[in-house]
Amino acid sequence: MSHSDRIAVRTDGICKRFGLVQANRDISIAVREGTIHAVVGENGAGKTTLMNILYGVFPPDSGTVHLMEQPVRFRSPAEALAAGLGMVSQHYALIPRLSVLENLILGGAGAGLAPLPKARVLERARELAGVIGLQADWNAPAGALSVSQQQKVEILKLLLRDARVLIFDEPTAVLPPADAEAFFALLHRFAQEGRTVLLVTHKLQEVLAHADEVTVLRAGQVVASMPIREHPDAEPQVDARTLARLIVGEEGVLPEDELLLGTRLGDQPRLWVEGLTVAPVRSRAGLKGVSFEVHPGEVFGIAGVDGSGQAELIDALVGLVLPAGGRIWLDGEEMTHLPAHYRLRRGVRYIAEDRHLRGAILEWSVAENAAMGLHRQGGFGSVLSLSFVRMKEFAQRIIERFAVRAPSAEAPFSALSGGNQQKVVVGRALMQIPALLIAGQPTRGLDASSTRAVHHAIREACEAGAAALVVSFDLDELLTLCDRVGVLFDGRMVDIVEGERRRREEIGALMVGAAKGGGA
Amino acid sequence: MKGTWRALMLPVGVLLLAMAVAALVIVLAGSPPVPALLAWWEGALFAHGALAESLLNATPLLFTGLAVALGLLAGQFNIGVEGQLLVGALASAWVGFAVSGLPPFVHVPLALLAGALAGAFWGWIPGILKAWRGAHEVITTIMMNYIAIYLTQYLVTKVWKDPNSMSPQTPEALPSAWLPVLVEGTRLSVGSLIALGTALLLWYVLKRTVWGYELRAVGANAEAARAAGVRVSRVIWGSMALSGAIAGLAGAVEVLGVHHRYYDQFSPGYGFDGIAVALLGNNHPLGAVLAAVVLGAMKNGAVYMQSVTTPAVPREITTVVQAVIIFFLAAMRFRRRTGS
Repeated sequence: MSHSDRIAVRTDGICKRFGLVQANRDISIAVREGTIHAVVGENGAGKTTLMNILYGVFPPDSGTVHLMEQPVRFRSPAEALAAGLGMVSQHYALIPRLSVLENLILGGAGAGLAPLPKARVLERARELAGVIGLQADWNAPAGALSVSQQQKVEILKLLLRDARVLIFDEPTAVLPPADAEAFFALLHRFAQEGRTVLLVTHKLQEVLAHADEVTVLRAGQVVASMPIREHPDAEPQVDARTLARLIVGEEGVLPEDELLLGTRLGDQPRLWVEGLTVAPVRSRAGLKGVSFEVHPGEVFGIAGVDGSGQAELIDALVGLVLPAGGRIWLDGEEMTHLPAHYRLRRGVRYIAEDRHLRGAILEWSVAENAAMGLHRQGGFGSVLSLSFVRMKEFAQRIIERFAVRAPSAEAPFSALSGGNQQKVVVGRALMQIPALLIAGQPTRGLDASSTRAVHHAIREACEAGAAALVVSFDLDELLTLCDRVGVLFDGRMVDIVEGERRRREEIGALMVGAAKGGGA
Repeated sequence: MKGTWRALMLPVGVLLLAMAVAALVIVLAGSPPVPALLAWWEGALFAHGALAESLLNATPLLFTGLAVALGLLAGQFNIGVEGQLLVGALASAWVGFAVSGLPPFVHVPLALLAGALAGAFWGWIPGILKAWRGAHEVITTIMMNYIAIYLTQYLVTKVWKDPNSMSPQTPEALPSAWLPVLVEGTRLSVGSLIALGTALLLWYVLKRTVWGYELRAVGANAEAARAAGVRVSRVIWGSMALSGAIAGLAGAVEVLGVHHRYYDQFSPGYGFDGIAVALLGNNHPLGAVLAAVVLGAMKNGAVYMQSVTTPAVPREITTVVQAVIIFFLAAMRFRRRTGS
């Protein structure tokens, strides 16, 4: 029953302005029921704003929304959910301390002092969990689940409320390849059931492989809205280059597929890690006796399913946690137990994997954020006289070099779109050539051209003598950027892949513990 | 400029609202509101010697307001300002009466320093408990308040009691430890200038030094600060100690400038008034100056109002005003944080 002629979601002339930024300008789209409809565009093109308006997070300044041909005006996500429209955001909305079941009940339970409908929800959840392939302990805290499982719990929340329209904002950004495939299989299933899927993504290959229709936004406006294929099994009628051209506009620079490989500079490793063992902090695996080295001029990638020990590795290298065993050397100097501020002084720079949690202070200005971590390096005056003028100048240089869209260096950080925030966080780590760059998902939430800019900046730094360690869940990123890729599985580095073996399938298999591999 | 304007509008609006609630309470208590409010106003500013008394009232409020604001900026809710003030006051009183033979320019700073150090120590304990063990400062500072209240009570009734008096109080401090009077014929002392200087210094430290930058970073997002190499636990106990030092100075200045001795229960709750000052001053040192002057004048004016109105409007009406201020501003902060 897919592809009915009914329009599930229609917007007419949606406008939304945030201060100086016109985020949405006269947006009119029509999403047919039972289709997967992709929404693409650069960072700051207005995708997330539009989805938030649909979901009732905030109202449009003008324009109307129709759901199933009925005019609607949601004042909150709860109202949108009640009407059958739900969204899974980039940052999941689960409460880590509550159990999976309690998270499912949250927001959908009865009123006041009525007992929680645990039995009823559990029964329905068990049914639906089979459908979407979720296997989880219902009484485990939601924070203990892997990213893929958390995403499924979010989806389950929407299905329990019987959502007919499902919005996904960058759903595959942190999923390992196999889970991403399973996720799309699920989307097709939803479409076949007559549900409607709105898919916000930067990955054009996903759009071409799975979407029925696509809407392209640029600078807050619709520049194209067109079918990708006639029926779900047909080949796409559009190619990636056409889409990319629409996204960046006539003047924009198209990203090229390229391999950025470097050469080792010198014989001495910059970073030398031996038998590193860390108790689990944020994920469940911990780190169990990991050894590797990174040379100047080299980008070393870390692949692995989320929760395989990446968080512990990063924390131990940055100096945020004391290892339980093993040693870390930087340029021959042992720093296993040295604190973070000391390592910063030795040129260790860190791009945090979660910028809201660790990377930035949202209520501060762009300039104040740009100085974070560098504020004791002497570039902004002395301890007793910190120069905000120099902070602003530094932020201005980041804004120019990384093409950050910001009203000014003094604007609050929260006024920037997610992608532009990320550029500031990346920029401050790379403005000076670091000795060792530790990058956790450095291009999370960035569009193709920004991703390319960040990759080039990392490469340039390495050519100038830096060593880089990049943790990413995006295999394509690791394959594009990294000379060697270490694969983590259950806290162990099961293999280090280079040369001929640097292939998607090889790494994908190692990630799930399915390959013979050397190191384990 | 627009931001400054907006930052001023909210406290002024809340203040007017609080005054309106106070007027309503006056009506309910059976007094005609207009003469009462006029008397309040007159007592605060225009009655004989009113201005100096208002500023005198504002001085301890400014210190405690700064102490609370500093804690809040570092993400610490220091409810222990009252206890830190008490130990600071007693320590400076002791230096005042027990150390003799010093010229004023040595004795006064020494007594002030003793007050600041005692307060700092009293703030440092909950700070270190939080930094090392994660003990919540709201609980521990309240506990420290009780320890301070009973410890000072014990000391002034048993150990350092003035032998010539029936009341639980220390001997009078030597005149060499008294803060010089600022305006002849008033009780206004150099202590008010020290409070103002502390506000300016604090403003500079917070805005223009690496320490202030790191302190604000910890207050806004401790996890991000840690990732940026800030030694978070050091900032936590350091800010609590500094907050306690300012609270201790509040006590020292009251003792050395006004009473010239420590007596039991001399503080009518200055430490808790500091919460209202910090909130009304928007956690800004210079905002705290304005807030302290306004609330100090209000307290002073209320004494006059009580004496001239019939039936008398009790001066405790200022507590109502403070409560309304805290209620509204705390609610606004919460609203802003949850972003609704």
